[in-house]
Amino acid sequence: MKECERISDLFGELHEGRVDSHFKKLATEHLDTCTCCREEFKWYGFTVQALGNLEKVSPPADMMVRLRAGLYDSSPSSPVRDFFRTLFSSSPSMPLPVGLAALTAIVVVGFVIYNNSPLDLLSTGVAMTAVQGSSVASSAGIQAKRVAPGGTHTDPIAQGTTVSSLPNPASSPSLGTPSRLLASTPSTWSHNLMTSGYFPTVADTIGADNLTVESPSVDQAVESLKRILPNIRGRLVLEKPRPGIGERMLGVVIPSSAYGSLTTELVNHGAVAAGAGTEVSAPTQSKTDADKVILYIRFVQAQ
Amino acid sequence: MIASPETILGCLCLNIVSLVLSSVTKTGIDDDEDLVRRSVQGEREAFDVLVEKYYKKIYSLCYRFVGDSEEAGDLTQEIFTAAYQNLKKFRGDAKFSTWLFQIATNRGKNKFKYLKRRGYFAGRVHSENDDDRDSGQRIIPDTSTNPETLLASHQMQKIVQDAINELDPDHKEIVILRDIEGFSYEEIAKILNLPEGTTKSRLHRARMVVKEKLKKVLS
Repeated sequence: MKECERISDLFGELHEGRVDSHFKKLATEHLDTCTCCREEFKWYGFTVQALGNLEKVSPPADMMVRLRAGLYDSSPSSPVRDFFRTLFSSSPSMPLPVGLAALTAIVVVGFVIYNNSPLDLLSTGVAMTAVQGSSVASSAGIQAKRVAPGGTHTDPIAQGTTVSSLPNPASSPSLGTPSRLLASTPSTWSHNLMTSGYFPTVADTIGADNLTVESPSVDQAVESLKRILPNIRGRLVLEKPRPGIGERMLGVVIPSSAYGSLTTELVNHGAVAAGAGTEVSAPTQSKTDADKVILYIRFVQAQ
Repeated sequence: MIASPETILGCLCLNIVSLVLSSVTKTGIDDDEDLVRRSVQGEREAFDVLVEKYYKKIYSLCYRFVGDSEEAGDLTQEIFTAAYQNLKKFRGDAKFSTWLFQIATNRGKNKFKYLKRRGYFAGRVHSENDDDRDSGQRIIPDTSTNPETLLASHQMQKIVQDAINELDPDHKEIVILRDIEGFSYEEIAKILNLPEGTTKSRLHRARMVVKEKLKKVLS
């Protein structure tokens, strides 16, 4: 079998008579005895003959005229144009132009995405939080009107409770009581998130750990919040008393969609929602997924 | 001072050797050198002579690469335009014809790759086969006829052309240059910038592939 392979490898030389007489004799002997190789060699010869017998093609009669016209009609070459011609004609399948176009598209899309990326949103987090806060404050304001002092609301927390409003013209702080809802800047938590490699979600921009509830009775306010939680499919994950200063910190997990409901309910129950500010964001860091938000609420004794 | 007979004989021998060497090197001189020089200087007539001299061979080469007269015409035009525009870059290290066929082979190979990637040849095979069926002709030639008739038949020509169209570009170029256009191994090695041994082994492999294709169709 190895002999057959050797002979097969030398079909070209054999066919063109480029082998020495000794090898030619050996090959001839092999071909005389091996039917398979003989057949293959016949086909090899037939192939070479068939290729050589391909009829000669003649160019069209006007070819020379066309060539001359094409040659000298083209404007004289310039180095820059030559460079690009070489660049683009080196491969007619045009992977280079296609590649360049794709690269340009990627750069443009990347630039657009970069300019509108969540990281960029974080850098303008104050504005975003203010917007979020304003919606909270607006709804809070509407709800607060319904439970305006002198209304029929009998929840104990409502008594003596003040409602804060955002320092935002969009909010509706037109309540009879002095109100104050501060939008906390998420700069601290956004910085933490970025340095920890955590990619923020939309829930982050809602502003976790940024609510402060001012109430004359912190205990009652906390109990009220705990009662609300099951209704909005939330749960308590942290309760941290801060002895000495009469404050309590609560961490709740709620669906991000329920954020508005929670704050509304808080206001509805007469709580004060105020920005917790950066001073409380240090001990806790919000972690969210696309659906849930962990919210840290500080309950402080109303002055 | 009279030179000795040995010195005179030595000088004569040197003269003979130099004459022989110069005659040998004379054959290596590019016939087109003068035309190329004049073309570079802007003499269009000189380049026309070069075009006239080579366009048939270039067209034939192109036709074998693309298998279509229209495409071959365009490719020939492209090759001569490229040659004309790059004539200043021709350093004269090789013959003008070698340089021209280098351009032609590269462009032909690239065009072949381009067309093959777009299914051009597959489409042609199908449509032509359909045409043949429509006209009631047989695709497979009658192998009982004598070899000369068989090889010369139109169908056989088409089968062979289809077989080389299915080759990969490296195999195709070498088959075209050697078996169809009849270049020597030395010329092919220069055109393709390959060692002669590689040229021969690659040609052998290419022929074996064509052989298998022909066997498959004709057996």
